[in-house]
Amino acid sequence: MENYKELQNRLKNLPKYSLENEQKEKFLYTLRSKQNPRKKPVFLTPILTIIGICSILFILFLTQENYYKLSAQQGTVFTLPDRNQEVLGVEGKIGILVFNEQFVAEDGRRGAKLMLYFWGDEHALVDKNFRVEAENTKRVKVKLTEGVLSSGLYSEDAHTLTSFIPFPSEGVWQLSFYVEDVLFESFTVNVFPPFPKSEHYTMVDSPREIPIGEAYEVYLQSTIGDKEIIEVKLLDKKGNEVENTIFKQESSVIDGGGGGTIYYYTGKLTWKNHGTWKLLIDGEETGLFEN
Amino acid sequence: MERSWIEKWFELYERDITSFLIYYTGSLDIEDLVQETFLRAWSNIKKYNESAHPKTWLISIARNMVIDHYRRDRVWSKIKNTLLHEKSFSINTEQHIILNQENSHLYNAISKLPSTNKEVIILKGILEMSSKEVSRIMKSNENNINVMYHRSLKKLKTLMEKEGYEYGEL
Repeated sequence: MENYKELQNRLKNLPKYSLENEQKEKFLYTLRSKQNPRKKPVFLTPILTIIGICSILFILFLTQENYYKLSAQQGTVFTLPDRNQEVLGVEGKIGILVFNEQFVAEDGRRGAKLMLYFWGDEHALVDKNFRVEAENTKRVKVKLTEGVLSSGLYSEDAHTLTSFIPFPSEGVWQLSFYVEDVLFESFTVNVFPPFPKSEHYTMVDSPREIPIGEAYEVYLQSTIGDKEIIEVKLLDKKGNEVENTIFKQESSVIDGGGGGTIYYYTGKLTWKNHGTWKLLIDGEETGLFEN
Repeated sequence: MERSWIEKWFELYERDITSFLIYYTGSLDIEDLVQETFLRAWSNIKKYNESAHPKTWLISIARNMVIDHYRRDRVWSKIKNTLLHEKSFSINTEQHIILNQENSHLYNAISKLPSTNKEVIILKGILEMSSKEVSRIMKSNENNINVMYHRSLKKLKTLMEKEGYEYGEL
């Protein structure tokens, strides 16, 4: 046992070890950094979450009207059952006879003298009051026209010859047809951007309707007619000249709306591809437009 | 800033943990193991039984960690004798500087003890822990620890004598 006592004493006296001060400091620093980040999220996370939610709500609030969803079906182009004529609308319910089956914003020409065809219960339609309203995704509402329905000309049950006021802006619009204040049918149409125009000249064709890669006869409408020919340049979006051509005055008409004279010029332009363009018409520049 | 409990424990018991790990693994390169011991204690504080002494709990963590470490590396049962008994206590130049000649004999003898005997010697003999504390760490009872300690001392003495070192002469 004595030997063990001695051995135990020697065991007790064996050196004890400790990390170097530098190692200790380094580890204490690690320990503190591991403890501190745990506290931050407790305060920061809810605050950041609230800020995030508020931001989203604020953006939604600001852009709310942009997200207004139109509920009606999309209008289609179909051929009338009894004659070779295409109309825009809902087959079996309603059809609009309009140039190219396409509306263009701010354009009064296509909306003037429209034929509306109705199919349904003849007795509930003929001689009844009707109204057409339009509403877009920004909740802008306009009354396009109203009047009284006449009996059908061909196979339709009722019709009317009327005019729409121009659509105020491009984009998707929902057309709602009311008969005696009751909704008869509704559908959506995609209205093209306004025609490109300069101070005195307006292009009468929508660039989106002009085929790519062919010399297309373009019409310009003008309020001034003192020149027989005018120079028209097609420019790309950077202003580089793509084509330079001469347009000739072709005709003039009396403006039914304002009573003044409207002059028409025509010439050929070629769009080789889709893109963003502008025209320089008799020295006057149009805004940028896409085809 | 007020120091946290884990920082206080580190200041109080780092020396015990470091010493245990050096003797238990036979290596001086135990900085990571010491840190890992305190980090495990910090993240598992819910498991701490307050009736236990923090030092006892920390040493248990260190011990289990070393065992787990070797288990992970290879199959523990096959290599523990090699790793914990012989190879791990091969004294290198660095350790020779720390230890005097007399102690290096003692180290070598400890390194050759079977694992359980070595643990008792380190905990009770070198770190001077009570039988009760050691029993908690080794999950045994006090009597067993006392018996095991005396057997371990006997084995240690025998090992030293085998190596030609006449115990008590120096």
